Amino acid sequence: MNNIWVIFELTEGKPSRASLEIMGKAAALASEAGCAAEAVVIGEDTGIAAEQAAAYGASKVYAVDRASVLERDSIVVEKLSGKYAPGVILIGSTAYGRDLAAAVSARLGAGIASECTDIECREDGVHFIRPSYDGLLNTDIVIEGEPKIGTFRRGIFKLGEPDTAASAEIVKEDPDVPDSVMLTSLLGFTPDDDVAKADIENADIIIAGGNGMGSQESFDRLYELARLVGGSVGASRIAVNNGWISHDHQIGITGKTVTPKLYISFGISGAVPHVNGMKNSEYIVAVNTDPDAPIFKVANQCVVKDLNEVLPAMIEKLKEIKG
Amino acid sequence: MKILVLIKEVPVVNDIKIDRETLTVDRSGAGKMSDPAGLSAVNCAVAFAKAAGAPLTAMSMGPDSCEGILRDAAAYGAGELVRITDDAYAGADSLVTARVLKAAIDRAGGYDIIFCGASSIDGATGQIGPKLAAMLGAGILSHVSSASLTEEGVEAERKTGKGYETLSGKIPVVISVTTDAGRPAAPSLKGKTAAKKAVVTVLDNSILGLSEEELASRSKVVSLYPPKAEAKGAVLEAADGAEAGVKLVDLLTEKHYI
Ligand SMILES: Cc1cc2nc3c(=O)[nH]c(=O)nc-3n(C[C@H](O)[C@H](O)[C@H](O)COP(=O)(O)OP(=O)(O)OC[C@H]3O[C@@H](n4cnc5c(N)ncnc54)[C@H](O)[C@@H]3O)c2cc1C
Repeated sequence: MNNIWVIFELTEGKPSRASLEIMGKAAALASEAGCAAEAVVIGEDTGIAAEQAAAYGASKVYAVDRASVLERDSIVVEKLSGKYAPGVILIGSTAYGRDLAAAVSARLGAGIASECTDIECREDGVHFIRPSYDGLLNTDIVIEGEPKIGTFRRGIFKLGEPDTAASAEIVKEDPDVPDSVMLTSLLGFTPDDDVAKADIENADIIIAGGNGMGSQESFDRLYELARLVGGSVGASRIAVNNGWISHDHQIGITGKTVTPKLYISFGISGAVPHVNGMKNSEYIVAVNTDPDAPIFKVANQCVVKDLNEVLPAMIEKLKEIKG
Repeated sequence: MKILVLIKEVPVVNDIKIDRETLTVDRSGAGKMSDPAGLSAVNCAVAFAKAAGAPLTAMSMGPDSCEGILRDAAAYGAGELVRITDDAYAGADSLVTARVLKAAIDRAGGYDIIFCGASSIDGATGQIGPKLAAMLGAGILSHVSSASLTEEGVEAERKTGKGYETLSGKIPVVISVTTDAGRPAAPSLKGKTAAKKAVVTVLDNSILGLSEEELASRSKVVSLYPPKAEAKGAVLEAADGAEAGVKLVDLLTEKHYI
């Protein structure tokens, strides 16, 4: 099989977490398939990202030392792909990555499987896995021709340990792309409290509530617990549909994918569309009265008790500790 | 200036029946509705058309039934309705769909601003906007929550991380809109009358003329299978919920998670 590429996304020279997670996965796949895992890094300063790509398994890094701009980057990837013919191109599914993947797919006429939850190398080739039908079924997708493009959200793959002793061959590239291809620009950024509160993708602790919360009043108690432990509040789709919290806080395939260090869920059944959005959290606690609730299949700590007793007791105890 | 909005008919997800034993999927009883993000795209497109005094076309690729959502768009303010359909387009992946839409756009002599939904509730691939932009050589402002016309082109806002990005784009531009952009206001009586009278132009492949190769989907679903269940964790032993709450705080403190 031809090589597996990961297109990195950089913010101020630092690679996104999704890029590194996917690089680790690509390296594992490449060793199975007997090919190489390589990174494409575009940015004003590619040094740190190239080093990290190597630490997560890239044997070669194509470094393009130019500011990353979506339209130009898509042409850069198109040209590099034409030159080196990768078999698979993997991209993190972020605001930038989604658009980049779509543009590269359109330019190369390459097939794409987006928002996948897994990728496998089998005897007959590469398979991309996506959830469908309420997560009850997985869709197994194959793509004809090369390169095959796949996108994955942050948190789909576990971030492994970096091998800081590893090094990669750095290939400097500078394909000729006219500035006239840049048709859009970023004018600025306005911080917003409500949006920041809903930034659960970057939270270390998430307190999530579902339909089992029963009422707005009861749901609102999650904020107190979140405040006491310095966490953010997340929710299942039904809690959002009940109007208890905005969609920006929804976790799952039609919401956000989260990977906090600690995830505590109250009254969430653990339907697959929800679990797909949180299963790679480091430590998962589930509180649910139903011992057969599927959430317990992914939980590290199962609390088969009434949340109306557990939640107030936690809040009381924490207030005691924090004085 | 010419403005286009792309809309899509989707099944009512809750109507799809899945047999948990046999894992078979029955979509036959499912009702149809306009994709919510597409409705928000209509909302933006109507506002732009008004502000610019520009004609607005609504376009949808799909079977007869999608004339319903096209007529709804006419009630909200779209003056021209186009439906694209052909047996050869059935099962098109995002690449083929974008090619077909591009052909229809080219046939109309292009548009200055093209709105579409950021990501539909059924496919949820978010591909059409950025793919079309790349094929048309237009800019892309994707997943925006609001957009407005400016002297130089368009400006839009996008939610990311802890706030809003302000983006600008030159014309021609493709703008993909999230449901944050709101739904169109209920149609006026005049709108409803216009919707009834509106003519839907139907385009098929004899008109759009895509080759067999251009219409070949590259991605194929080879199977559907149930995901595997994962291993269970430890059960917290406690006499009641209150005790469990206290024990949980102790445990999480011990493990340095809180
Ligand atoms: C296309 C599609 C996409 C979807 N995307 C998402 C998504 O992104 N995110 C998402 O979350 N869902 C999504 N869903 C919905 C998903 O399938 C489930 O319906 C949803 O996650 C269930 O939410 P819930 O667990 O809060 O509610 P329920 O399933 O109603 O579960 C409530 C749970 O609370 C427990 N409970 C009740 N009372 C108590 C109590 N006093 N103490 C403790 N426990 C209690 C019950 O035992 C039950 O397990 C999607 C569905 C579809 C079809």
